[in-house]
Amino acid sequence: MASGYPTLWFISCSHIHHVWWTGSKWGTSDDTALSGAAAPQFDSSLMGYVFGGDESIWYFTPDYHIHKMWWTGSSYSTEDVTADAGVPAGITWSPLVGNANGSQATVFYIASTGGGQAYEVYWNGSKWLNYNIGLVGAPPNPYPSLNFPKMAAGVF
Amino acid sequence: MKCLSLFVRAIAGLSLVCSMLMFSALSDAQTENLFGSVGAGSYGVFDAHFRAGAWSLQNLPSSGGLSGPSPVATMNFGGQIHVFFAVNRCRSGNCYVDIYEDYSSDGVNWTGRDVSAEANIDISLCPSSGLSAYVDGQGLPRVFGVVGVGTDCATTFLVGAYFQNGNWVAESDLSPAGIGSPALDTDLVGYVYNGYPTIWYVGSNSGTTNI
Repeated sequence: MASGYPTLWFISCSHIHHVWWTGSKWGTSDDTALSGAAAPQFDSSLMGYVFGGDESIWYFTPDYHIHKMWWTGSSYSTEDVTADAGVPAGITWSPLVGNANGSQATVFYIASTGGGQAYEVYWNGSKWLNYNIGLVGAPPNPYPSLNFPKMAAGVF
Repeated sequence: MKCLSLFVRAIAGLSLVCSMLMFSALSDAQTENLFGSVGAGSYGVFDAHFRAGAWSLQNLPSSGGLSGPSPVATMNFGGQIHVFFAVNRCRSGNCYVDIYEDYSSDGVNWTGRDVSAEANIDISLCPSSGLSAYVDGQGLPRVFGVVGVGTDCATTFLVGAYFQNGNWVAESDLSPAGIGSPALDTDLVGYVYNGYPTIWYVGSNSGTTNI
């Protein structure tokens, strides 16, 4: 993993790939293969941020659980956030956004239950907690696969 | 690369700024916001905000009217929340899908601004593609989008605008010859690297291109 250089992750053939600039050339890796993490849903939303000094990537697996994969500086770690937080799985068209705010890591998504309920799931430093934000609307089903609903999140 | 996902996100070391998520360190507000467009009839942009221990929802006043979800991007600039999205607007006898922003200093009272009209971007945004917004290393707010001509955005271009001296100004040329045009439906990811604005997108030649 690079630090301080441009870095990009993308999903290809249900693996998360990683490209980064080393300062003189581009490097690439198949992070799903390297980490042994659960493979992503092929069209999963994908988001990432730095939390606690570690680069973390968040994505949906085919069961629409949110998984987190992060690089500790020497190895990968992975987690099934949906299972560990005890929250509903995502709906198939859910976006995935989030941020880090101090010691709190946050992810937002739309659950498969309740007809379009947005959830916030966050790590408070010792455990996962969540809020049901409320009904934000349900697009038609089936939804155009490349026209996912969009979300953005922040602390202002 | 035939199964390359068009959904990309980027991290730049410790100076992360991501197009579809935006956070800042405004210590006087610290209000958590979630903006999105997921339908509910007119495909407006909802604003969910966390205050006094609870989430509440409202729609941004200038949003709505699209036949599908709008891309949404946010930035924090000048003590204000800026939210960018797509709207249908007609001007000078022509109608476009414009880049529009609602901005607010308190998250309650919003003011609208037509970025495309102000920057003379007289070409429609492709609303199934992404938007990216951030403040660059010079302190200039910037917004990027994918616009297109022809039926269903048959020919696409990357456009950008920056806010300077109280006005939105269009970038001169973000799709020069030799650079792959954006694929329709591409996401956009932007951030500042070494002080320079950077934008990532999936190219129409099936690769991911960085400008």
